[in-house]
Amino acid sequence: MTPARVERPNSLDDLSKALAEAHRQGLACIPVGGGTRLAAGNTPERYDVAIDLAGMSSMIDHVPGDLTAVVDAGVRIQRLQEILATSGQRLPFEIAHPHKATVGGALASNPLNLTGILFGSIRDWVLGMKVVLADGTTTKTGGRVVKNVQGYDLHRLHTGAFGTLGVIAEVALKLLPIPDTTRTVAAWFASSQDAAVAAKTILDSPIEPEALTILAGPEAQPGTLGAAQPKDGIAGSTAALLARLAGGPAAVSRQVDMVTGAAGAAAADGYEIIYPQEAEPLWAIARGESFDPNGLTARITVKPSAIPNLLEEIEKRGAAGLTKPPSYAAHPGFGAAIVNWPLAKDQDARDAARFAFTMAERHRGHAVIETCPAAIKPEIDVFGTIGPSLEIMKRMKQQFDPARILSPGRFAGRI
Amino acid sequence: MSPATKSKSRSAANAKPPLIRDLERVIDPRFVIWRPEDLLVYEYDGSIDRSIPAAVTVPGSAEETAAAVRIAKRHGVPVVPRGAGTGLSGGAVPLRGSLVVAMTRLNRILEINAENKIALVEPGVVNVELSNAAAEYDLYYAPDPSSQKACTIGGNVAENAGGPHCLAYGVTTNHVLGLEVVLADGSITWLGSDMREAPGYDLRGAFIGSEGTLGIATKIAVRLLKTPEAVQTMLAAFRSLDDASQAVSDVIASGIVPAALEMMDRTTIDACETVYRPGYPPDAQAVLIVEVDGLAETVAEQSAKIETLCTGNNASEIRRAQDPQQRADLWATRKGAIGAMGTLAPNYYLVDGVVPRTKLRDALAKVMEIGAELNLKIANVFHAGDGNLHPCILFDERDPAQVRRVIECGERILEMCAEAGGALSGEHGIGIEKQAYMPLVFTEADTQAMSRLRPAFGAEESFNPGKVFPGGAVHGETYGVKETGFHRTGTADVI
Repeated sequence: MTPARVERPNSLDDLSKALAEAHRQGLACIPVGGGTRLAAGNTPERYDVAIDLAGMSSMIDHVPGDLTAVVDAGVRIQRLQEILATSGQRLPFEIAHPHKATVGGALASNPLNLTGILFGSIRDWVLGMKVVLADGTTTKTGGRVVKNVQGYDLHRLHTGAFGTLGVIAEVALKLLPIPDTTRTVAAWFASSQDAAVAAKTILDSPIEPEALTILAGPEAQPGTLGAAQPKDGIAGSTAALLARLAGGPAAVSRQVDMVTGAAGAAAADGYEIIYPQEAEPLWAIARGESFDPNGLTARITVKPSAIPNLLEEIEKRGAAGLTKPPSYAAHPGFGAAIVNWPLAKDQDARDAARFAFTMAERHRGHAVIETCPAAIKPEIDVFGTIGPSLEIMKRMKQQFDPARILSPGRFAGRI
Repeated sequence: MSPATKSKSRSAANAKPPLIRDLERVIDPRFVIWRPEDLLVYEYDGSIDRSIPAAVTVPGSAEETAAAVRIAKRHGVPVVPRGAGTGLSGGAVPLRGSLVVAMTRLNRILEINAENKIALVEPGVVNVELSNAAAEYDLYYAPDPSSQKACTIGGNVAENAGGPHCLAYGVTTNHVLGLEVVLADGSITWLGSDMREAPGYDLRGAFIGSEGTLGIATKIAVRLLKTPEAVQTMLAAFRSLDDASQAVSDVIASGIVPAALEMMDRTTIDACETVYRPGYPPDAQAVLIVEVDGLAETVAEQSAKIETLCTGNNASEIRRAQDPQQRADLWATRKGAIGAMGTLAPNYYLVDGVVPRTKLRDALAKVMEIGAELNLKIANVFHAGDGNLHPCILFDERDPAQVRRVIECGERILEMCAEAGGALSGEHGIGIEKQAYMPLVFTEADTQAMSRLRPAFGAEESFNPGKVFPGGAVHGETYGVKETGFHRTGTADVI
């Protein structure tokens, strides 16, 4: 869908005026950050005005001694990380396409956090927000201190709401120090099941990797893993396990030994120990950046213990039904997988979507279709089934945006 | 039951208000409390405010909880959920003749799923009992308010409780995956799930910390963490508060986020010495309790670094806990510090406010300045790592002029926190106590936006009326008998 016009606010005041004006005219607005998540969500009912927040990116108020930063919503994640790094700090969550994605867009669309095993979800790092409501009213929620229980946590509600309750303008974030030492271990396996066995050994041990991902499929093949090429004699590998280990040098050294030991015990074809810069292209694959943007991408959330079974089913289905096999990045530490099916025809998308929802249901989890052809969107709710709390969500939308001008129809339950 | 008792209870039933009769139809009458003398214990929590409920019920299941909510609604009586009653801001004080629904019978740990590191509990489970039960699997539940031996997980959810270890591990909202809740219409629904993400609005996050104004949690799914392989708890004594504050800043600046970083000032040390006799250096003006945990190598490295930083800030003594007992003793002194205040004054008033950590030193100086101006003695024991102050104002409630100064002192401390860019409450909640101060940090538009949650949850004023938002009640006003009712020192109070 293409909007009739684009508003480019440069300040909170601009944004407030733009929304107030749209509200008066009853025009449907969609906030836009880095544009990496525009394909996510249901097809909106109407789309009149794009609110491009890229211009709201001047403020980065970082207080290293507080381990906090207050930033404009349009600030790009990578730029923020670079600034924080000059003080030895970082935003602990890691999402796909950090060079393009903005802080506001990340919070609004709540993508998967690669480091979820240790650092939870994106929402766990949000301390407060300034949000402009549908009628242009500017509101504040939370604060900029790490402990704060004053009033309702509205910033949690806006996180992941796809801008349907208000437009995120400014965000207060909690930070962490960058660890002294970081290493990635990449290990290659004959099957994803072997990789899952190694992952379980690691998860059951005292060590805690920052990230732990199983990769498989044509778009995430060991051979395509950028800088880190598999060593000789492991060309037959179909799955890789990536583990990122951080801390002091002694702690990292022990963790590396532990992980390589676990890989060896699970019959790994080989492994490599990789420095941070060389490991980055691998982690980009783990964030789903190499996946086919024209394919169907599903984010499936299950209990961690269900991951091996889920992967087996995905592979079986990939071989048997759809035209082309899927690729995936699965996170056994916190029970999530991003699965990407290349599509030969629209029917493939329907089959893949149905499969993703069926798998989620079978494991009593959830599936969200993050990208798919526009043609099939009217047939499904890309957010899957919500359950009885959908009624509360609908009333929430009615309370915050009764005129339905903020991304109408785009969110779960076509809210 | 003998015929005699039967007829006796029937005659008593005649005097029962209709609300009670209806409640007794669905809930065992032993758990429907309505005689005025029995209601007295439910008129207060850990705060200074008081108000007598219309009745109290202690349901035995989610269904009974839902039935109680429906009955109350039919009778036009608001509902106030209650956990252990340890709250410090008046969250469980039943205003406007409410029905108190106490969750203490729903106290089962329904499941510990070690493989997935989650637990499903009922709201009346006492915080520490969950960690005790999880210990068998080398897991624990991270939020650990100082009242953890008494407070319930349900109450923790309502207040979004913290504790000393939330510096590294976050507060309750960071550990709750989902909740089964009873809504105002008596329906039962799930918010969130028992997994990391659930699609749709984060109603879970909106509910946690809503102080019982949106519904009643009847089941709670939480994350458990691995028990760290190694822990080192240390105590560092300093000859000045400034040195101790600088040590806190230096530790954070060095790139270490300790599991806990707590401070006590001289006045608090005096109280602790009398009661627990920890034998702190007599010239110490402040002590820090620092804990690091994780892999053995990390703990060794970080504790050595912390020791160097404390020494660099003129620490007069550093002690390392050599075994679990010594560690427990260090924490017992810290967590019992407030309870020891009785040795210093007949009463105390505990203030909970937050400043950005970098403003800690100035904030402490201002707290003492305000105390001096008002001629009040203040003991400080607080979560230094996250800037969460707990000034404890000591006084004698028999002197009405002093009591007025105490209220003013609390007010001025909160004003100072707000001006410093901090918060009115780090972990105790707004409740009755702080609602009048909300305008210090929020505009009317801000609170307006927050007030939209109640109708969205269908709750209006039917749950915990008169709380959180300005205009509900005035701190101290609900409290009946003149100036008594502040904490009498010596009780097992906790922060």
